Amino acid sequence: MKVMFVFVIFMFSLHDLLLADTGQTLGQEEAGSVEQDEDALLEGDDHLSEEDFLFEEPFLATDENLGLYSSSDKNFNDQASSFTTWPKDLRVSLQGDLKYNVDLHQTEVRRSSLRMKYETAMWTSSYLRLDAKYQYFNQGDFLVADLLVGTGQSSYGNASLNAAWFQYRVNDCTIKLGQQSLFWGAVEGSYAVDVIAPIDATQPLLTDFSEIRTSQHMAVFNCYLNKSEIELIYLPKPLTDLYQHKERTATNELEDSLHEEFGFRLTQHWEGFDLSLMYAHLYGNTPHIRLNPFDQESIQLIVPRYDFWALSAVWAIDRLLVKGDLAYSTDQFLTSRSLITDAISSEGQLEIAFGFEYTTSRSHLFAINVWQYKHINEFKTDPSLYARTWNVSWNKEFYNDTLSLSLLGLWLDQPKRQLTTLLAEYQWNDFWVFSSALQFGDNIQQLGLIEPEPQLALQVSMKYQF
Amino acid sequence: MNIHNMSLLIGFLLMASSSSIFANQAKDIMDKVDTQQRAVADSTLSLSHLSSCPFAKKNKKISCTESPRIKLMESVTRQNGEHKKDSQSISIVLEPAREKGIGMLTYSYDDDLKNTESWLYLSALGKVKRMASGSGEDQEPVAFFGSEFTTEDMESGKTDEYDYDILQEGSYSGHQVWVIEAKPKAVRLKKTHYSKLLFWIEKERLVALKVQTYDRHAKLSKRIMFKGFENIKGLWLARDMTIYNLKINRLSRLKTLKIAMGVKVESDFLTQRSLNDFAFREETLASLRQYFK
Repeated sequence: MKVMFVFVIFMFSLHDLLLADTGQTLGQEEAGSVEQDEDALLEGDDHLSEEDFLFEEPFLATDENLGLYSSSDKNFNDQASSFTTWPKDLRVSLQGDLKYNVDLHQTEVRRSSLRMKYETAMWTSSYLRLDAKYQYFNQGDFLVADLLVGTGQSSYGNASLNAAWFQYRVNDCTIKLGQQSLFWGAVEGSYAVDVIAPIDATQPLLTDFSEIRTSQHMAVFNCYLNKSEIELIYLPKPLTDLYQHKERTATNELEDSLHEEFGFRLTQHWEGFDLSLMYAHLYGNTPHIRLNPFDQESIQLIVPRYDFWALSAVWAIDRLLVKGDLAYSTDQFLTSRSLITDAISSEGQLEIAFGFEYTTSRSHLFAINVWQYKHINEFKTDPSLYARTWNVSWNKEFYNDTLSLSLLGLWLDQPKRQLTTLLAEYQWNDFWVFSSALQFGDNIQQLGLIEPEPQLALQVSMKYQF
Repeated sequence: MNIHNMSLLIGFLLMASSSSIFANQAKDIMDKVDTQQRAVADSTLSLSHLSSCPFAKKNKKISCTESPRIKLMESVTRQNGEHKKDSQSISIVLEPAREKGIGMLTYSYDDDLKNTESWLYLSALGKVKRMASGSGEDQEPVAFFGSEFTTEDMESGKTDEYDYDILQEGSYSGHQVWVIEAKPKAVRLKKTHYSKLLFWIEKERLVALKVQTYDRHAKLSKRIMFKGFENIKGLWLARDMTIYNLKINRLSRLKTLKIAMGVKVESDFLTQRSLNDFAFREETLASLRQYFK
């Protein structure tokens, strides 16, 4: 903890240094910039006789030098080409998270993190982004205390790279090389088409599904032709879902054994309508567990190698957004675990997801998504039977976008799981964000590991970003 | 009809016709103001600084009672369509750090029956998402980037949706102005929060020096002050706008730090590509920034 404390102090010092470097003195310059002579402004109409609209307010006469130009902007012209502006291209955030399970009277999440992002267009036609995170998991965090996965009892730190890519453009085409995330499909919270990026189950799911995805090394080649877009992807060494940072021998062996993945996406845009067609040759993201009946300590993980075809569409009709994903995957395992002595059965799987988003005239955003899937031979036995996942959400920004309230309801019917999360996020100023989440239900991210009992948990986070 | 009645009738007709002449003149003036405003937004790159804070009066000065929220944005806009009343724009947030990289592309149409199209770049996902915005017909004004400016305060090309009248002429703040009242017609009433607006239009430059908006109960709700006028390529623009929400004592100030007008914006720049092809976007913006004033 002492190390973290020293680190926090260091980061605050760095923040001051960066602000000084860019000449940004928010408190002085900005507060002063809106200070103006004023006489009758706050009295509404009282000063302004309806007969004389030409009453000259002192307010208007003394307006000429109020700091029109922001000092923080002095290097803007050179931003695209100069190395000297690196502090402006760097973003740093510090975050602390605590989640307390009210029913079990214990903490589930207890961690702090430092994240640094840097992006710049340092040369013509190019762009670079680096995004690294260091997380420290304290005693009481489920990743430290989870006995089921055999992790030790001591706190630990983990560094990860969320993005480290270089983009280069030639005419209508662009290539992006390096560590990055890729999201296909239109329906949030469904994995019908969104199958490239593995899930990061070490991160808590609140209301944003994007927070629980990992990045991988890949090459992404895009060409833009009028209203069409062609995307080719190549992953030399794909990864699988992330459940823990330690005791990863079996996972590492699995990932070492995987070969390349590749695929393409064609997208066409029309007025109010987008359509994408996708194909990929992939590995599954969720490992199948092979148990050794003669050695219970020994497990083997495997993932299916399969072909993937998909269609995705988005249609905007006034305030309604209709989204649809349809996918067919070959060679999907029928079970999630088996004995090492048994053969594994696999067959094709069809997945369908629909999503509806409606924004009211008062900017309330309501969304409902349903994702269902079944193995092909199940059509013959019971065409109506699907494994189904629902998620329903609401979001609204209040008080000049400083307070954001969200609600997410998530239901799975195979196995039966449900989770409801109410999230409140408050932006105290341009640097500090506080959020709290009340969660009731099962731990969706630990499917198969624990038989859940619905539980109430409270999570609080604070984040400082500059 | 006796002489008295005749003179009353003539007087009434003269008043009616002069009122109509004033209304026509007011509409002509506002059309010219609007045309200039749209010309300023046509093929334009701008760097804007938007600050918002609650305010209070102290020692006859207005000052923020909290540190202002700051947003720095770079935008490219282009007018097109018949009479250049359709618009395409892309805005990228540069500050604060929390929102850096968020980009929004918007196509809005003069035709109320045509839906506004917008796409948002979600930096967490690294993907572009189409948004459902509805049509101008059913849109209620929403806050512009969390400020006191609403989409209604920022829009142009809607002069046909108001009845105008000149209330007064004379000198205001050293400038000759018309004070023009705008009352929303039926088509406008269902999508506005205002019962009327007053414009102080400077005669020489055809720019607004001040605008006051009145809520649905005819009570003064907002005051917008325009400053820092500059002539660029024959067009006048205010580089500094401050809006005072008098109901909640909160202000927002939008300063145009840099602007390049009449630049050549290629049609493929105002597309979804610019939201996620950073190399392309930055290269294009760098070539436009050399025209910054």
